[in-house]
Amino acid sequence: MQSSCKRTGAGLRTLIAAAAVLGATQMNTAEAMESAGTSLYPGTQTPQQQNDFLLRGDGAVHVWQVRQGGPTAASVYVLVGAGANITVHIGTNGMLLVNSGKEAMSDQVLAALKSITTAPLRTIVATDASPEVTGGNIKLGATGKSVTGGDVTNLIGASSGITAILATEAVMDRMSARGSRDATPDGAWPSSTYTNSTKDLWFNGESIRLYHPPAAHTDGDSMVYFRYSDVVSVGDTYSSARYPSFDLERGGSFQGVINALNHLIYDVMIPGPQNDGGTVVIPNYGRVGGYSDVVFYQEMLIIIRDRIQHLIDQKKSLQQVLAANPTLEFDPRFGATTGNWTTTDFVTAAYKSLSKKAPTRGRKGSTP
Amino acid sequence: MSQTNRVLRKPNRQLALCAGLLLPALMALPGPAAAQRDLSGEWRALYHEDRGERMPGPDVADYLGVPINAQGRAKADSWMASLHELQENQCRPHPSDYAWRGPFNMRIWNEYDRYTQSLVAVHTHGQWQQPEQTIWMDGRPHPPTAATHTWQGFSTGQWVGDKLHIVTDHLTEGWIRRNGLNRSDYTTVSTHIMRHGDYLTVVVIDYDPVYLTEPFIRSTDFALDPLQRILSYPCESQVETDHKPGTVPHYLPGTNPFLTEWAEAKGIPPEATRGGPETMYPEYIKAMEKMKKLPRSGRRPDAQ
Repeated sequence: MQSSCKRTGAGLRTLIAAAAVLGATQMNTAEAMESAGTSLYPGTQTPQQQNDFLLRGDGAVHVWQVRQGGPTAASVYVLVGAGANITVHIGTNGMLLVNSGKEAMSDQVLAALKSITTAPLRTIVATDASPEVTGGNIKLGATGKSVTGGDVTNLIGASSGITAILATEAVMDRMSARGSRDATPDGAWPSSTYTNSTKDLWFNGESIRLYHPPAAHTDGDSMVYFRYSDVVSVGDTYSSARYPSFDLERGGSFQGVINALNHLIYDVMIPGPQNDGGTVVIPNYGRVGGYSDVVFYQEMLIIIRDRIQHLIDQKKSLQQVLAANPTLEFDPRFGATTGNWTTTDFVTAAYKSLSKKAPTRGRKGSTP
Repeated sequence: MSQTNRVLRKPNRQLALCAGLLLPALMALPGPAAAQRDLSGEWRALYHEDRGERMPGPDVADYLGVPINAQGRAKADSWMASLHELQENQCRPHPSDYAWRGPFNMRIWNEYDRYTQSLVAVHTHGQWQQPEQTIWMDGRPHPPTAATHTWQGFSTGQWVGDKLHIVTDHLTEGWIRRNGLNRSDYTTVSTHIMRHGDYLTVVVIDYDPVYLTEPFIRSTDFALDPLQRILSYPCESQVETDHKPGTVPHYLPGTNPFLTEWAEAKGIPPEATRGGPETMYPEYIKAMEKMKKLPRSGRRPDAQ
């Protein structure tokens, strides 16, 4: 213990001693981040280093098997490091991907796929319209062999060089709109879209249900649930590496993210014994997770929402809300002071979103 | 023929006789280093140790002696016990680093490779919520950063003399006390198990870069109890209180009315109850003498 005492900086001791006074827990994000990372087991990475890897990768594509298949069951893998995580579903019908990653990583993605299967690519599901999710649609799609109606293609079997791309209508609208920041060449656009709250597929011997949470990360999100494999790819509604990124300009909302998490917890995911195992969750950014990970994340967001809403109800300004640091204890784990989604960005978006008085679908926190 | 060659060529009957007698005896000896200990068996928890902490549980806002940082303190301040009423939380087990402190009559058994008879893993099973921890002893690496975290985590072990040293990571978020003092899912746990005859000492050291400023160390003892029977503990969540789905009980900052309750009951300066690394050391008692106390409440002190 003595050696660990010496490792602790004097500045940190002063900071903690000052904060130890009853009620004095006001720290800004930078201070909160600074005070983290001092109790590390030798040789381990800081939370920020782990988050950075999960968010931005290390230049390589890593393959991780999530479910081992069999003669009649599909295998599920996740590719990490290519932009948004890519879920790979392989079985007797071929291969289905959830997301295609960044365009610049397409060659590495194809090499990674080749290392695990020779199954033909049939379908790509896009969880939203962002370049990190859809950037590989053209290059990966060109390697596919999609099975379509013979009366359309005049073919028996598959059409080479064609991959079905499936997404919500809102994704199609964004990717095809001139001047849109998500605008892409038409080869990357969805070939099939849906507007309902769900869409069902049957592929590789199992039923697959797409859920469209309204106004969560954006207004065009899809979550993909592989019912037999018991794996759900949740897009940007959950992340183990950052606060949820909801894009107000693209129709996203803070409450919509919480609603999507509630839907996952109460309607989709079932934990295994003692809350381990059971449904596996694959986020666009972060590690492969489970039921408890999603519950802890939902609890955090509801606590933060209640704090910000309480301050909004007291007519506090955005600056006052930021100064109150409603994310204090979660910052060393999920916060960021740099990058494209900082803690300030998150709190600012949450403040704006909650100020709009969006419908809460009956989800309320419980505070005395 | 030299003398040396004669010696080499001549059968050494005495040596052969000794080898013939000793070899079977040598083959009967165990393979691993003699310093290793067998931990297998039924182990009974000794609940009189830290009874107040382990049975009724710590008081709300008792953080004294725990090296938390401001974030760990803020998290605990917002904690409300009814969080555990929620259906989604009812079947949470204790995480493997805390489980030793809980209702944890325990079984330990070894798993050997049938062909090589090398030790593959050491397993533990506890009673409450029947958690099972696998400690891999075959030198396998820990999973990558993108792999799943669980309540029991991923553990590897190695013998250090006659002590088993275990390193655990890939843990789900958990707790170090049952009053809202949490540790993060980025915690690494170093566990040392020592056997002293019919007693077992388990030392657990939490390294949490999110909520702790220093390693947090605790020891727990067990007694060998060969006749112990560990009962099953299946868990099925039920509606206990009418919380709407999506409800999360918590206190908004500055609204927890119980933060000074323990200080008032015990006559301890409230500032000291807030914890932090400095409160772990004996010299802090002198610092406490200069701190302001609140009037003692009429609350009857509990078992602690």
